[in-house]
Amino acid sequence: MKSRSLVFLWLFALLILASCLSLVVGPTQVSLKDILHPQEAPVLITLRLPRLLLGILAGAVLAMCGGAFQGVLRNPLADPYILGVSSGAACGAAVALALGLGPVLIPVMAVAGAMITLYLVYTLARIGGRLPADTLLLAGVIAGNFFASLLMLVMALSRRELREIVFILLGNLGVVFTSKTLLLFEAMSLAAIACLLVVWWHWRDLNALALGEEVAESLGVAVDSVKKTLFVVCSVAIAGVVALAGSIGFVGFVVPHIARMLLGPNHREVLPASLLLGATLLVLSDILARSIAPMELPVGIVTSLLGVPFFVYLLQKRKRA
Amino acid sequence: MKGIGLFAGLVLLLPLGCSAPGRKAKEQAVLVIKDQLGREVKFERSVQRVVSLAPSITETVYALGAEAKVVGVTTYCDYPPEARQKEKVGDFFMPNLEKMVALKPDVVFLIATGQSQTLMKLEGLGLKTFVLNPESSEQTLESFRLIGKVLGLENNADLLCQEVQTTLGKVRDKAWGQPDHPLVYMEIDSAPLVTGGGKSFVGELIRIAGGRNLFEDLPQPYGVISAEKVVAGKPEVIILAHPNVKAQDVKERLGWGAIPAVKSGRVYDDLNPDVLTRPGPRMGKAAEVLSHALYESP
Repeated sequence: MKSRSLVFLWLFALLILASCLSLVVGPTQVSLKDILHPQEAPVLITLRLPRLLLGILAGAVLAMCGGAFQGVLRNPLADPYILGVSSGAACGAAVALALGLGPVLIPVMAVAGAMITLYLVYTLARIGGRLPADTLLLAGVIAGNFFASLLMLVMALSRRELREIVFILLGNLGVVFTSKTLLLFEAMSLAAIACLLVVWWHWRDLNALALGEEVAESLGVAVDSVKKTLFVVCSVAIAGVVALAGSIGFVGFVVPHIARMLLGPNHREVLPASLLLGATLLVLSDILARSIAPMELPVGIVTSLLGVPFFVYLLQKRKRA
Repeated sequence: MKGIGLFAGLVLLLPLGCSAPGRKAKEQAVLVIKDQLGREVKFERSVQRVVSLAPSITETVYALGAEAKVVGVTTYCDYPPEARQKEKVGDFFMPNLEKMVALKPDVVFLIATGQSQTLMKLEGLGLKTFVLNPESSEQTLESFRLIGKVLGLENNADLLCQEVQTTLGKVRDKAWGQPDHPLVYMEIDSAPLVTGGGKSFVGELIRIAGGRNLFEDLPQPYGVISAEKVVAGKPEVIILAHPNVKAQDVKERLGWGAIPAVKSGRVYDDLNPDVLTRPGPRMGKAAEVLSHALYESP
């Protein structure tokens, strides 16, 4: 138990370190001292802090929801996008772009697209009040494919060049905030934090589910209501993230696995560790993505370039042990 | 592919067996023009039916006065406005190949690299392709001359080149006479921020108009950049070459209020993005509107 607290201490320290680094690195000279006196360097509050917070939020939501989905679906290959939410969000954003709607309405439409997908998947997957994991998975993949095709159709039919869509698909933390979009971000952050709390609240149920649905039921877990709650709550949080930062890949898939390797399968630890690790990995990746080259690299690429070697290292270590 | 090569080979060999005068006549009949990929394209008869796979090429063909020969254009070809009435053959990425074959064009003009899938497909279907590669103003002028040559309108092409060169010359002269050269940030896209560097077509236009490009050193023509780089770079003029945001939206961006261009109200959203970014006959106009924004707007 003691070693686990130590791991958490480490993870927390890493996140703080990454955050400080993220505030200091950039084209404008900012020293560590300035972080305590931000009025000296306006760039900290207006540009770097929103980007850092978006990175932390996106990493935390993707990793924790990825972990929850892997638990609920009992599928190690699950990721936050497996139930089609990101395709729906990208599709909503594409429609908004094609209609020429402004910078505030695009994320709103993305969330709307994700919610429509959520509703469709939910209705499709439900069989007589139950929500079997395999039909949920199938319905999610089918809906994801359908909305991806719809997205292509919008892109093909729209006379405007929808370059932004490509970036939504790649993911990017370089959101240019205005006071209005910042308000939207704050609202989405609050919603996402509430969702994450609900997810963590279910760690016991997730542990029970890991033993199989029948076993969980016999242990007194209301399996279907747990699945419904987690599915809806995670999708809402993911929709908010995709609407703002695009579908950043990899974090939500591999971070929960890393967390399990570090701390074992108990969701009480896996979920918060995923949250911390996801946020750290994304913040670190973003620092690299925006400072390696004169232009920005897609953050998802850097995330997997950083995450895969770490994952392989842990895998090797475990094999040897 | 092979068939064409064999046929072209035969056409080339034929004159060898002929007497001197006849040989001359044959050589005149076959026109060989090198396109901007360096490929030698042979024209056995005069070109009467043209398909254009790029808005800038459509503009050029119209500017040369050959609109009657245009039988197909892309869905993006919207200038001059009459071009919209022409048959649509999809766009460069998703061309309607069957329609193109049915239109029986004598030549398909397109902008492509040697590895382009579209180019290979068109060649595979036995369509005659002529590739243009207008990445700079020089190459754009060259593209006018080449299209003119293919269409047998060399004189019109020379006139068009002269006209554009004169305009560019005037803009350059005006820039040289200026005491200051404003620092420019040209926004090509807003989510995320995309700009054109020194290697891009708009980058060259900024230089011609007398501006200094904030992102002159970008390694590729276009790239994603961070908001902080723009804020830290303190551009004196911001040009929005996309319809997604207006000058007012830029003022509202967090942290952008400190940028000199925003403070002095020199954020321009009324320059036509198509004029600015298409390497075609409106290139001179593009340099003029940029010059106007740099030197004649308050």
